[in-house]
Amino acid sequence: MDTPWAVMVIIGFLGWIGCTVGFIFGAFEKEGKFNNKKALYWGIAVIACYALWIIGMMNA
Amino acid sequence: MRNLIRKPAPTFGAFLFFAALAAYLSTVAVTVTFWDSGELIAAASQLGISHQPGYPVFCLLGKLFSLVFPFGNIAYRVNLLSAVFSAAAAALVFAIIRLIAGGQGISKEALAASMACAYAFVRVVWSQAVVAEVYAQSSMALAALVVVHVLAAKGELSREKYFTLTGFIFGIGVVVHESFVLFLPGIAAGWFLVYGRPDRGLIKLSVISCFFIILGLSAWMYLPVRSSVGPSLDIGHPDNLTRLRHVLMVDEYLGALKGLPVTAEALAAKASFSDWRLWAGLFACGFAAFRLVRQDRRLFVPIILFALVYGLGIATQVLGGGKEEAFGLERKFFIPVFMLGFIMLGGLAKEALEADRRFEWAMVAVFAAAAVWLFSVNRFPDDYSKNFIAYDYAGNSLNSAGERGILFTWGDNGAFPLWYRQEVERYRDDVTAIHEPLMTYDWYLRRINDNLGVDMKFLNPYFLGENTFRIFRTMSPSRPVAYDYSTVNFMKLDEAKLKARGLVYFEGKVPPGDPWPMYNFRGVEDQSVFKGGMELNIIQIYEYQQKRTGTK
Repeated sequence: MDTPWAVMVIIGFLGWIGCTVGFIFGAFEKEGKFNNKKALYWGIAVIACYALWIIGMMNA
Repeated sequence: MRNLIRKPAPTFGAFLFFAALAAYLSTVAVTVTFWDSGELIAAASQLGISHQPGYPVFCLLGKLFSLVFPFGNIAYRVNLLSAVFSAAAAALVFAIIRLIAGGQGISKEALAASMACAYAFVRVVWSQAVVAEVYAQSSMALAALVVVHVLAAKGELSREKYFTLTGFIFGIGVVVHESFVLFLPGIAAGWFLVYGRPDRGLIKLSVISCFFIILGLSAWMYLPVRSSVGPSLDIGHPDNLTRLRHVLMVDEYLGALKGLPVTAEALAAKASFSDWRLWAGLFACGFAAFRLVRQDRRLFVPIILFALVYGLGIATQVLGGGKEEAFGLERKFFIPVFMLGFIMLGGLAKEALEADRRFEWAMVAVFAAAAVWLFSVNRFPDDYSKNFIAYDYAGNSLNSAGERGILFTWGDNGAFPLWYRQEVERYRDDVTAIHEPLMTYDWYLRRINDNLGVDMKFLNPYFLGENTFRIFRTMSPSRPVAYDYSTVNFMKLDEAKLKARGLVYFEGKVPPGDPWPMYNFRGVEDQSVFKGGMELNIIQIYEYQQKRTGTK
């Protein structure tokens, strides 16, 4: 088990879960209002963390 | 004190979390315990795959805890995961009851705290908070789901947030433990009761929330990705779609659906309709449900559905058919029902207090007394802080097998603690442990073939005896071959043709020496260590083998 990659796996996993919650609270700001800018930021963060999670799992 | 008056909710919530955590930490297992614990810890430590359905979330969080905490052995660190999540779930139960009760004031906070405290010390909740198991995370996911629902029902969450959050928590919850799927009817009811205006927006939101469900479920990606890397603990080897379906028990779940709707016969197989306690319980639950629905339909109908569908689903479907599987047999599955029960009690307490507030502190006293009573009666049976019986039994079994021995194991308790010791501690990893029940799978037979060079019979993997004999025939000239106590019993091997040595039985060459002086028996005769059913079984095996080998 490669510990640095295992750390990446954990960061990636907690990251994409946390960023998804961030996306929900950021993008769906108010009833009937969708914040495109925040959705983009959080969406990119979700994808980046998800990719880190997958790459980490392949190398750990 | 000033903080308690100014900000009672965070103070009580923090107090509750730390009180429950302190209780759990004082009794948390210091090492591996029986049942799934050894396998789950070993899988978490190497980001491997546990038994069906693989438990990816447990493995990931278990690995996190094994890396973050700088003290204790790996098993202890992973056990802490259950303690922390159970304490957090209890704190969320406090938050939920407080939200349901509404209003402010120390007495209301104290009532919610005493109810949540009582929940934390329920026997089954405590028992799963001190060992490596998945139910603490499952409880936490359910508590989070109910928090979101209650906030939405109280008008404190927009419908977009409500739909997407519940969808995402549901998806992750199913990956934590597949029984979470039984909360779907309650979630759907919540969606349509809380914000259910039948317009185009509702349909659009339902589709968006389905995307979040799929995103949550995608945590299952762990299984094929990790399996393709090839960790040594890779149960089911789900690196392709066929084996992934098998690991996720898709066919078993679809088969269970054929049993729906739940029939009177299915219920009769699980409970005795002539037992007056069943009817008294049903009447009490029915009356409570009636009062709660009258109080707030939007808030309580989904919560009642969570408890009802989950309870019936577990009792009649997941536990399988047959009268031997009685209600409450697998009590750990019913933790969500206890949690939802306490939450509904919170709703009933609110109604009682609205009728007459004079009993507020009396109610606090009743639930605080219940919490103290539950603490006092459950602390001993849930105390694993001095329990080394599984750990020592695994070590003793490995020390029986001889140098470079081949050891066949059978049950969870014979194999899983042993896997922990070999996979995590690298203890006696010169011994090759072969788990007989897994020899019904082609991927496991192929692994044995690769590791030992034994010509396995792939065409009929269910031919256990034939393949076991092939391993014996190939390996016995160079390595001792042994069977543990459970393997001899379940395979119905003839004890007269085997040679007992310590805890195991040899076929062919027997290693020299007496292993008994090497064994550890910590806690076996210590009255301060609680002995559950499995611990008592192991003590019986020790006694039987001592007589069998002439040691006693």
